[in-house]
Amino acid sequence: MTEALNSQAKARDEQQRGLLAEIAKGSKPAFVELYEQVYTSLIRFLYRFTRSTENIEEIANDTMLVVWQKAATFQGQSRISTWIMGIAMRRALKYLEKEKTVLGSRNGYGDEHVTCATDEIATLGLQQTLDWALAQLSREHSVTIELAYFHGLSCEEIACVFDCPVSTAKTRLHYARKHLRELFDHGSEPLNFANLVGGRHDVNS
Amino acid sequence: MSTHSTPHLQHEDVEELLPAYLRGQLSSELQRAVQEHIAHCQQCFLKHQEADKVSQLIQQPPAELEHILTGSRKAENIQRVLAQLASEPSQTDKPKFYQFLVRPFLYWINAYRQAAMSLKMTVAVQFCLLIVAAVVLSQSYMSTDVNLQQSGAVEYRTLSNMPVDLGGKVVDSTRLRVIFEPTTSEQDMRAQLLPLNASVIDGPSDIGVYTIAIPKTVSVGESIKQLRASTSILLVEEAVYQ
Repeated sequence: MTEALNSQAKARDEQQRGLLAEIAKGSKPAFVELYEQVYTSLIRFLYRFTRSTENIEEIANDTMLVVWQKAATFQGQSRISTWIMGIAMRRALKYLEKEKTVLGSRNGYGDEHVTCATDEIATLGLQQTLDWALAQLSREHSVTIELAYFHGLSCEEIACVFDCPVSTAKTRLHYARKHLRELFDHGSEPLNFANLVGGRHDVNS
Repeated sequence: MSTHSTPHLQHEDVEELLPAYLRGQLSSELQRAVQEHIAHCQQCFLKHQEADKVSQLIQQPPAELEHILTGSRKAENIQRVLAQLASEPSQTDKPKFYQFLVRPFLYWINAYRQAAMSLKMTVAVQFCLLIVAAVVLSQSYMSTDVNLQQSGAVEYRTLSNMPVDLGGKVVDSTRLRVIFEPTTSEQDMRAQLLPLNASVIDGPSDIGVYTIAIPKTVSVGESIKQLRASTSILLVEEAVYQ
């Protein structure tokens, strides 16, 4: 699954594999280093997944505890970061089931009605506009966008995180993009951020 | 710009690879292939622009997360986990039986889990094939059975040469197969057999063969000759299986 990666991404993964091997032997410094490396990704991923800042640190810590316990069982079939995201997703799901805090009814697969951003975005900055748009998508779709565009994960890796078929990951990415487009452009044009950029700067300046 | 695809990548491939391309995570070959494709394809160029904007915007963490992503908060969280680890035995602290028994066991459980799906599929397919084979065989057997019953072919005949009761007296006998004219009456048959002291012990078969028994005391050759002389008898042969 790492054949398509460039040398830099491969090197980073190799380094993290080394850290995991050390963790499997009980090395706490290696654990700290790995946690530092994945902290931001983990927090962001959990935020998109739970759609809340509440408890995401607890879930992240919980995830890393599992990493500590399961380090020896890592089979090396994916990138370390992908493996950790998969654990995080399962922990978050468990948490959501336990707390029954599934946010709103947006736990489907993106086929719910989406509204145009025209009115809402008028009061938002560009960055917030995207966050707002992502919050309009289903959980799976917004997480897929996060994994693809922030983490640079391939569809195979996204499938690994969600523990779903690659075809499902591809479909999710496709529909997530489509819905994002609809949010901004009524589905007629590709995301037209160029116009928004001007508008946002005007609003923010 | 035309809308052709490069020899290596289709439009949908490019669309899928764009996020990783924009993050510079693809291998140099793929990176180049995507670059060449979007340089010649208007459709994918627009998608590239769109993906580029999303990719740039998404790099900024959501405002709500800023306080959680600060260095001090990160350090606090790491310390919190370390404190939890302190109460947990480290991998090396675990007893020897864990190292030598539990860990290999966990390894095999894990390997099994990965193989489980393919194994389950194989077993399921084999089970289905067995069921199908069983159904086909049973139906085939039942239809054969019904056909045989309908045709009356299932009829077993005793071909032993045990002594038979001939005229109220159990004697050793020789068997002959005889075919009478279809119009021969029972009375005529008796008339043919009586002089030889013979009795019908079986028949007629599907093809009209009677088995008759003649006492050993009577010459077989003579009996056959006598019977063959009769116009109401079409065939007389000594039974191969007595």
